[in-house]
Amino acid sequence: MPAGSSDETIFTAVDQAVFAGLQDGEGVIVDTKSAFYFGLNKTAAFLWETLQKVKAITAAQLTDALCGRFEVTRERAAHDVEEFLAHVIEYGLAKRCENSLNK
Amino acid sequence: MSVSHEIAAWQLACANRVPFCFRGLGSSMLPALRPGDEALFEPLADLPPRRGDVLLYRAGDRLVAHRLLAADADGHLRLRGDALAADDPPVPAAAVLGRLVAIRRGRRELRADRAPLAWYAAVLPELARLTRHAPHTDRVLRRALRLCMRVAARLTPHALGG
Repeated sequence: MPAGSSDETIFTAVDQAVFAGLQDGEGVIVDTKSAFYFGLNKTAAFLWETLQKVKAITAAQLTDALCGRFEVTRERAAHDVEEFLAHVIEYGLAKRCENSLNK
Repeated sequence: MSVSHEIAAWQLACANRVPFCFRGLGSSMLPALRPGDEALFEPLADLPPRRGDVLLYRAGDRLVAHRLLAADADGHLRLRGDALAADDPPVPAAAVLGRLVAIRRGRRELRADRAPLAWYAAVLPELARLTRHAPHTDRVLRRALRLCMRVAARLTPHALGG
């Protein structure tokens, strides 16, 4: 879980981040505000696409999606999701809100 | 970052009408561009590349940002890193992605069409032409130019992005 987040924390991609997938499953994000770009490996590209598609998602849901897509242990998937979310938050590509999805 | 990521990012930036921010600068464009500078490139559009422009082009598995010295009659471009003594291998015009429009250095943004970047664009291609067959003279003049720019940067640090 990224620092400052709880199980209930919802993550959303910011509008200024645009994504393009590559043929090999990898991808890139361009931040249209800063013009920075970020290369994504297959796992990160999948997580980003899921984040963008679902609009609002928790770390646990992302972990579920990752386990469903790749042959990976839940522990490893949770670690990858944590790392991914920490990076996208740090670079301003996603934001978190504390509202519960179930409320 | 692989070149396929960079090319895809370039296309994505163009499609969204934002500059492409290239952060892979080494020391080959010193003193105009420094390692750590963020170089902003835009497509050439209808304006053909001009002598002195810093162009971003694809060379095999990497992107290169070097200065245009001349266009050959066969359509190839001659480019060179400002700090380098030799030209790059001739570059087909189709390999060029875009032209430098600005750099971000710390909190400052320096426009390519203003001092000091515009000065380098005006002086360096001419220097390369004059000293094409005199590499020693070229080295001496480049050193003198760097010294001049350093002195000028001390005198007017804000204007020169020093």
